[in-house]
Amino acid sequence: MFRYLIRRLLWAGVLFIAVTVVTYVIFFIIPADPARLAAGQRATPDEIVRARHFLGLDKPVPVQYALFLKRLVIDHSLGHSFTNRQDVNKVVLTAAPVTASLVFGGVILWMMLALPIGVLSALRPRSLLDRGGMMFVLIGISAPVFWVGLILQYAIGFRLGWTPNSGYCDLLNTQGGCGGPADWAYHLILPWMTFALLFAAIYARMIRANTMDTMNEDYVRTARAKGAPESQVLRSHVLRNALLPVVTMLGMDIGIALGGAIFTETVFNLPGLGKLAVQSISTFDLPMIEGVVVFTTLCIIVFNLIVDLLYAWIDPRIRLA
Amino acid sequence: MHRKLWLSLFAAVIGAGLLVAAAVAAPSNSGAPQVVKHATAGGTFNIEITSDVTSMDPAIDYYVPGWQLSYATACKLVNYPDKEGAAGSQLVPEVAAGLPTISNNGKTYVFTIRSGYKFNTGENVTAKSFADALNRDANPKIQSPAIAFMDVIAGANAMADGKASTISGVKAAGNKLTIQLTTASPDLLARLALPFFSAINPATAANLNPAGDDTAPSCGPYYIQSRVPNKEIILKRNTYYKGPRPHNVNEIDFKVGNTQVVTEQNVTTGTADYANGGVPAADYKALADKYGVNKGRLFVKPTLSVYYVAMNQDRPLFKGANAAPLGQAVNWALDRRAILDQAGYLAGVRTTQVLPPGMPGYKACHCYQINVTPGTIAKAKSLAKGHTGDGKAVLWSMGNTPTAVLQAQIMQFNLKQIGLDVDVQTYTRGVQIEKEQTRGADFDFTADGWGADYADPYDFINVLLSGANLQASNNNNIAYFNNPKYNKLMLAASRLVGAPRYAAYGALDVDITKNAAPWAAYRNASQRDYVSARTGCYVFNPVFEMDYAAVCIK
Amino acid sequence: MALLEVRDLTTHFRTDDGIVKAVDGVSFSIEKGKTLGIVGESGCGKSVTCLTIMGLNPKKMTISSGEALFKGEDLLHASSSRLREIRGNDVAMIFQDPMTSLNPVHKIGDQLGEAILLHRDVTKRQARARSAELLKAVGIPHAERRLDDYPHQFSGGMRQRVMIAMALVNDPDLLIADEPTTALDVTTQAQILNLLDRLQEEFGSAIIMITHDLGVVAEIADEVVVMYAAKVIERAPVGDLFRKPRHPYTWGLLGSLPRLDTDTERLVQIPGSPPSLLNPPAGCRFNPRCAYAFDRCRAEQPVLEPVPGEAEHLQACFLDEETKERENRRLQAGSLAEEAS
Repeated sequence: MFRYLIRRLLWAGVLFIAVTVVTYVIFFIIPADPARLAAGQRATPDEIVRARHFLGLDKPVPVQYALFLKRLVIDHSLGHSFTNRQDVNKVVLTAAPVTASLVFGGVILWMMLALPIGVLSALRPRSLLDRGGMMFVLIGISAPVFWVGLILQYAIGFRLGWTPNSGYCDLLNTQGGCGGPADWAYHLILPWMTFALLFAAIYARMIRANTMDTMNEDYVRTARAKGAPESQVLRSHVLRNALLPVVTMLGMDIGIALGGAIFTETVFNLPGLGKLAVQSISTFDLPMIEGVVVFTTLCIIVFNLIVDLLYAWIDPRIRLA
Repeated sequence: MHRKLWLSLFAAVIGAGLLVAAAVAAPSNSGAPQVVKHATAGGTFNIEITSDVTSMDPAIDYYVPGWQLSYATACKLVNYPDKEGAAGSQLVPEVAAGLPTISNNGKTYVFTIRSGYKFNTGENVTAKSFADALNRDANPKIQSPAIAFMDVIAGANAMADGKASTISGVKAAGNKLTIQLTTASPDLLARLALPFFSAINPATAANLNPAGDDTAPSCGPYYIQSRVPNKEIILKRNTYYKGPRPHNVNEIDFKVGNTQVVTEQNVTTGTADYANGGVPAADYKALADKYGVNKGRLFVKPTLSVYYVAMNQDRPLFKGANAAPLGQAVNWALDRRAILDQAGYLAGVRTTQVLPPGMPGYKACHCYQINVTPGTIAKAKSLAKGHTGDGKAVLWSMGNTPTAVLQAQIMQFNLKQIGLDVDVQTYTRGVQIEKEQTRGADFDFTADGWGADYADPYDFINVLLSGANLQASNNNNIAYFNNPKYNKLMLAASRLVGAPRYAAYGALDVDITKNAAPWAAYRNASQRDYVSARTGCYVFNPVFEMDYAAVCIK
Repeated sequence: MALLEVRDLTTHFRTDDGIVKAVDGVSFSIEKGKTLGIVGESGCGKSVTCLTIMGLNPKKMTISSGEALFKGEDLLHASSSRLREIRGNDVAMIFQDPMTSLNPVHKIGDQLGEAILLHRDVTKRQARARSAELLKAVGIPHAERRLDDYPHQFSGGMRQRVMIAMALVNDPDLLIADEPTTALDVTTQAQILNLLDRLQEEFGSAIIMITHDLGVVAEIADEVVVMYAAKVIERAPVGDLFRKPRHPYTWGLLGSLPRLDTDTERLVQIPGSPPSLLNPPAGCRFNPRCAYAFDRCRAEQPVLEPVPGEAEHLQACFLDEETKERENRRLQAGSLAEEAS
């Protein structure tokens, strides 16, 4: 177990380096000059040279990358934004809870939708319930996320006025006229719905398929032959096995979603990692881009590791060799 | 299986229903609850901006919404009056007691500082407050973009390069501020009206953190009480301000980050008072139909900006004697109405010149007919004849937005009429700018735009068309226009002061447009402001746009 | 009274292609403590018969009729809750593939415990003790410790033993074993059969052994039912079946077994393949493949009748007694495959 963890951590390090290097390479291949942008439209060549030096862009790219790593590992700092001078650590760590609020709330909502729809559809295949469920799946998978967001925002937020049409309120602090758990949840209702729809559809379909497959397994027949009631067969034998792959997928999807539920955050003005990523890319703000990349990579690595350990714990056939 | 067919039909009905629903969905300005209006002086004015400012530190902020904000908070040596139109672009002394005394062949300026101006902390504004601002702007630790405007101040570059600890050419003694220049530069006053040069108090002067200070104390009618990045900025009345500028509301709140769609909804319901980031372009027509233009809800005002097609004089197509006739031909051929239409309802005014109306010195040219007719096309064709080289050209659109691409296609069509087969190329805006500013770039035509930093024609003519400025990269003169006769005229005009200066620039503008034609300008952008029902006292300053100090709540 | 008496059991499945008549009028009975072997080719309906008795067919597509009287109670018309009481308790079933018949994510102890706790009001500890007892009884070493192991930690043969333990844990009167040794190798097969034999003595349960392997039947059965195409074609005590078979299909089955005691040059082959149960052939279902078929076979369906002089031996074939006896002699001599002399 210990050796397994060590190996995973080493691979995580390799992955981390690969991802950050690729980000650097992509950034420097694009022919746009952050120093020029920072110095302004009237800048003379001298001023641009100065700006380039201030931003550390006058060093060779590999050296810049090495400095970035050094600063990250030793100072635990991601540097300062090229566009607004803010401390990247602070900005990323302020944005992360917003995305986390969106994602974790969204996960709960989508599982609350996907589990009943998936299981009930599997238990009554080709019934009206099943067909209705799969229609929901079709709509959920086909409807673009931003379109769903815009429609909900217009219909419910604006026309009906049942929820706010945008904005984020901090869970604990009051800032900008709102705060606290009630405000927090109230503002996240539409974003949660928007974010969860697609995943709910995907998971409903997957759960339905897995459950239908598992219902045909021999050990389910054995359970019935033992005289178990259907509810026990379902709970203890069918679902216990059918939902195993869901655990893996959930872990991976959370990790990826933490990197930025971009559309939802933009439509609803949630200042999370997704919105931050879009902003920093369009302003060629390398430290901020790397900050988001680093944080997202770490999340994905951690979540994948948790999922693997969890899976080994719940499925006795898996042994971490 | 007939069951599957039934399912497909059901899905088709749902899909059709959704399409119908989208088609009949009313625009967002109906059926929503209205906020009750109170007639109060004071109150809180709510503004929504779609993208956050970079920083509210006067040394760092170089962003239009940020400058609009600082127009309400800063006090400067000279400033633009809270008026519309031409009056609004005429500099008047603010903290300076009067216009400065200029001596030494235009190289020494002495300002006398009025007493009575105070920061919101209660501290007095002195000559040192301005000297501090200049020094801080030149400090390499801060790395302010202001340094680009300080190149004529003696010792500024030395300090920016780290060779001096203060600017040698700036001295503050008592209530006198002296600024020495390296060369006579009559647009210095206009430069000093930039927000970079607002007065700062000693605490801010000592703060050399490159991250800046968002809530630096200020001496204008308002000050910044707080800022939460990506969320809000709150301005409050500076109770120590006793100057002549207006100050009606008690508090100004900026909410950051909502999309244009949401901003429009909020102004409609009254949750917000002003959509600073604009509303979706397609909605302006409906708003204009509903509220009229400049009648209280929707204001359309001219900005000091110009959009143009630059013609790369370095290229074979424009070599030698070909340049002028071909440039003129393009000016006759360009369908400015069609191009402007792509930008949306009332998005701008057609032009053919370099200077925008509203810029001091602007004189209407009447050089080219603005409407395209068979007659104008014929004239264009005849002018272009024999000057189209191999008949092929490359045109770069202004970024990759749908509007820009459509406009480029129209330009392509227009150029086809005069015998040029144009290849349209599209890059993202940042990349386009980078490429076209590099000398030797392989475009013949490029669509670009320029907004005034301050209201002096130097900021357009010299910056954008003087061949003396050309270098290997980072060129603003993207027409690579390098005509010795005009370079001399531009230099001479820059040395003039007052009415002769503006007259010279006005004449230069007409001359270059008519005779050299390195550009085909097409649009002066209009600012379209949508405000709430309770917004009153709307004033549009040509340089800083909507005036937050003047605004009031009905 | 017989422990289980099956009368005219019929099971039809509704499928997209039509109605499949998987079991068509099957009758047999079994006494307490005895072993009945049901033999036949794949798809002849032997498994479905037992699944029908247990009520384990998918409800939506199944139409059953007939009677399955277990201690006088008709299982086919029992309520779901009554059936659940009986399953795993009075009647237990073990299945063919031990690799997939146990839930991979639950411990063996828990699965055995589940079987007990469903039918007995005991504590978990008592259930566990009983589980260990059964594991010992089926011959699994270190039974106590093994209770906490998972199915994948057992070999195939061990798993089948666990299945048997699970079936016997509540002392059922009847154990239905659906091809329990088919998936195992020969030595393990022998062990399992021995085990079943021993347990039958110990626990006193009756066993229905479904198999396609006549060797298994010879080893363990008291009475044999031969099924073909959803019908019973011969039924006899085991000795009579092997020494005096009275149906061409049975001769084919027996004749295809290699033997060491005779000098057989060729084995009997039954040409063709089993018929579709959607549209079975008219008349005797075996007639298309039967070397002895004549007109009557193609027109009428033979009825299961006793062999003259042997009340316990039933067969369904129109062939006359003489031919049957003659062919049987040739079969016993090992020369059935050769041309008649």
